[in-house]
Amino acid sequence: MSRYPADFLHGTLDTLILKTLTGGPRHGYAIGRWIEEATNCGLELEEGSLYPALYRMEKRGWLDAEWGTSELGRRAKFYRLTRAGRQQLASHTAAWAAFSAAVNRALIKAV
Amino acid sequence: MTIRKRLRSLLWRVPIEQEVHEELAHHVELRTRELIDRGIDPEEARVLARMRLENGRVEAVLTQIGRQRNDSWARRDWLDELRQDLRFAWRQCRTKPGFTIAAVLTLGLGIGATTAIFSVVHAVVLKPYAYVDPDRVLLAFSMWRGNRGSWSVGNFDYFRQRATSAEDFAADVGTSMNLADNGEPERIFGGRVTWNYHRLFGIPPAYGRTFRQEEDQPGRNKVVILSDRLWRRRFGADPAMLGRSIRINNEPHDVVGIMPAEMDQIGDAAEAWVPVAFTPEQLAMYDEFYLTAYVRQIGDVTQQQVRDEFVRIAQNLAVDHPDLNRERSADVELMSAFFVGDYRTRLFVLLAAVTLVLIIACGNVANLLLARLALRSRELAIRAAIGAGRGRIVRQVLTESLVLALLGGAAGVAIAWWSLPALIRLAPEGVPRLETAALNGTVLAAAMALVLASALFVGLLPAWQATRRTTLTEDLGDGKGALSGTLKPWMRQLLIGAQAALVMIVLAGAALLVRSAINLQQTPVGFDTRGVLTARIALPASQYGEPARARAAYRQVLESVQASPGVTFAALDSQAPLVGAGGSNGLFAEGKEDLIQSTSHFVTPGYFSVINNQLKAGRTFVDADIRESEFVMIINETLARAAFGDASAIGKRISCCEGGPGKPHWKTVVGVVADIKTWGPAQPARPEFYLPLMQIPDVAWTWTGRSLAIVTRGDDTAAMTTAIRNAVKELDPTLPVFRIWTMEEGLRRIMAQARFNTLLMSLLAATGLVLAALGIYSVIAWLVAQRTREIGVRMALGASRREVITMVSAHGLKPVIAGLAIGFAGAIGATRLLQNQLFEIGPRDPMTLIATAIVLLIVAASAAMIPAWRATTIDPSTALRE
Repeated sequence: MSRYPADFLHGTLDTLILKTLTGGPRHGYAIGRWIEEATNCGLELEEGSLYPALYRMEKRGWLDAEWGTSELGRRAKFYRLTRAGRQQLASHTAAWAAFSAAVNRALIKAV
Repeated sequence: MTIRKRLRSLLWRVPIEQEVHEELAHHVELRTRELIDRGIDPEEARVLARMRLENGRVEAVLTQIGRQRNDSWARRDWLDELRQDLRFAWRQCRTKPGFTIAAVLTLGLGIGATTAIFSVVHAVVLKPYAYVDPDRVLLAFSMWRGNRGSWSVGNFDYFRQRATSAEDFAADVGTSMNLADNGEPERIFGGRVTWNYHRLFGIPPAYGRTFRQEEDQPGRNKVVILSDRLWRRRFGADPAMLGRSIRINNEPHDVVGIMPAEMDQIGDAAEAWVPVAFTPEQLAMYDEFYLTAYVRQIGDVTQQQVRDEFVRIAQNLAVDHPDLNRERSADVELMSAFFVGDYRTRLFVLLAAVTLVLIIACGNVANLLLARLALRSRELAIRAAIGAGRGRIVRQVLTESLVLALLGGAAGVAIAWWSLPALIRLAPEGVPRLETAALNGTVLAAAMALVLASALFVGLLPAWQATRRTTLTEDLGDGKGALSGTLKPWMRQLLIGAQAALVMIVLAGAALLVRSAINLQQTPVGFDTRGVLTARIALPASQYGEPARARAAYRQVLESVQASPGVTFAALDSQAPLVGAGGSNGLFAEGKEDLIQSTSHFVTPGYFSVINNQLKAGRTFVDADIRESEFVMIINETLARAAFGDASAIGKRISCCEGGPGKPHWKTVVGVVADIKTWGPAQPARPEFYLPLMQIPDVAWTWTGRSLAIVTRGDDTAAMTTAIRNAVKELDPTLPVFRIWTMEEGLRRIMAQARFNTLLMSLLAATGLVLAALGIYSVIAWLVAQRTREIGVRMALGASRREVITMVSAHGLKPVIAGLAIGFAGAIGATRLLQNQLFEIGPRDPMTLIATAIVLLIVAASAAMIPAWRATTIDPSTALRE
């Protein structure tokens, strides 16, 4: 049985962002939109959560940022996955699968 | 992220505020467009998009995280570069093993010597004392006419009853004790102490207890506390010694306590302590001064308050007992400061000298590094060309010097570890706490500081040199890769100039000490020391308390020694010259009032035949000078001058040793002898007087502790030693014979301190001189290598050998001469510190300073001449073809 640290759920946003970037470099707005669409608008991301998460992950070395040109023709920061980010994504995805399966079992079981 | 990428992102980096602002503006723009697409009015869409940024809160949070991100990147970059630099430096070291070994050994010697000396300074001067609260433990002095002295029992007791600023006021009197248990009888140095002596220092006993107040009384004082030293040495560190009985001065004493080793490190040489147990008679004696007194001041007073109180009590004492205390006062001094005393200056002078040598060593390594950098000018130029900044190159060069310094530091610690025991062994006796010198944490930290300082010293000039770029083409253009264009020789000249200045200072100090040692050696001690042997015995009070018995015992020993083979003359003296001092008495000449403090000798008539000092007037003692005949005295010339001026002393009368003020006890001067150096050649002659041993008052046997020296003259030291041992054994097999020394040995001991300082200073100076010579040599050799072609051309054009030699060596000698001039001035200032160690020579002795400068100049000239001469062997045609 794995153990889940207190900020496990908090870490899911990070994991979603990492997942977003497996499709290639994107800027912050695109990342937010993708998550909203992928979850069928189940999650509406606030800028106050998304961007700090991006900066924190860049600091930890999971993401790498570069200036590029966006669809508006303006300078924009594009994020891409680093090797450490890929590893983090893999390990957190596995943990999440185990966690959600366990929670599902409990919720579906008759009392 | 790879380093290359990070470097790029660094290059393109914008300020964090701008980064955040731009990113969020882009976000808002896209969000606004999305909202407009959904059919919202553009103005409102913009407001809605903006609102999601929470009034700038998001911007602020991002700015903060971004700043942290940048910091952590900078740290990582820095570490990456450090790792690179270290790897590079290490590779440099390995590819040039010759250079590395030379540099590491040079630095190792310097750091090692400095570390070793520092560990001694730390142990003797800097380390806090082992006793509790050393800042509150004072030594108290009884002052007489401004001179510090010991305490009489009466005075001590008077103060003890009145001093309120002292939490504890204790006294001890150092004394020799005959120790006998099952083993060989032995003479040890012990302390007779007041009961609170150990309590005052606050060091708890390792076993047992300290003395109780009731044990400090006559008759109840047959208890002893052992020192750690004696306990280990003699009793094998056996805890069962506690409670056992040992014989001290032939009386059984119970061991009630064993002190830990810390007690041995407070400057107390005692190996065992017994309660002093003053008798009522002693407590009433105000005129015999032999106690050392210690104060632990109470918590909230200052040293000055203690001093003031002691002076006040002394004034009261002078009123209560005016006869003997009219001119007496009292003083206190911090005990730790008193014990370290003169050693502080001596050791700091050594430390300063060894530090100068370390700096000279650093100069040499800096020189080597400069030369090596010159060969790497191409590499440095390329580095600069591809964008390495000045800071980056400086760091790289400093890292190299740091690696060298670290290796040198490791070698240095090894050298210090190996040389420290030798240093301690060579050192003269009596340096307090010297044996505790060790490579402990503090010393290793100091060694590390030396390593860092050396790295800086070594690396700074080369690092600066490396950043002094000209153009890339200039560096790359020279096919040989030599930095002839950019490496200016003046930098290396500056280094050897500085070295010359420093060597001048150390060498001048050493020269002064050597000359002063020679002066000492050549100073006559006033008598023929060859073939003279002394040994000491002490008769215990239990058997020989009666003076008649002591007299008889000594007569027996003396007669037996005199009759032995190998002994030409034999005599007794209460204190033989050169082997340690004893008592002194205040005496006054008839018709005069001034007391003259004079050293006492109680001798048998044969004494002057043994010592053989010149009789200036009158006669020596004869067997008929006994207590029943006229009281006679022999004095030395210094005393004769002090008492009678130029007038003849013979027939004049002097009072001493008996009676007292108001009732003089006259002795007639029958002879005047030449001064001898009783305390060794460095000490001036003092007033001394001689009394016939058979004429001294009974009480004098107690003053001397019934301890006398046997002094013999003969050809065979071994035979004389045997004669003395046998004679004492015949008298009493349990009596130890101690301090069996020839006069030469005594002299050697007295001069041990001077010899040790001279030896160390000379070693340091020699090391500094060799290092500086090597530095000069290498600079000239390098210069010759640089200018081979030019020299070839000059010679081809007809320059003579002499011209070439002069031209080349001048390059080295000019800075050396400038350095010498500075060093000369420095030496005049610095040698003042040696003042107390010099004998019959001034610290600015011009002869010595000039001679030192000349020696240095000759050495420097030779070091410069060798490579210069080699330059003249260059074959012009070969040089030009190269």
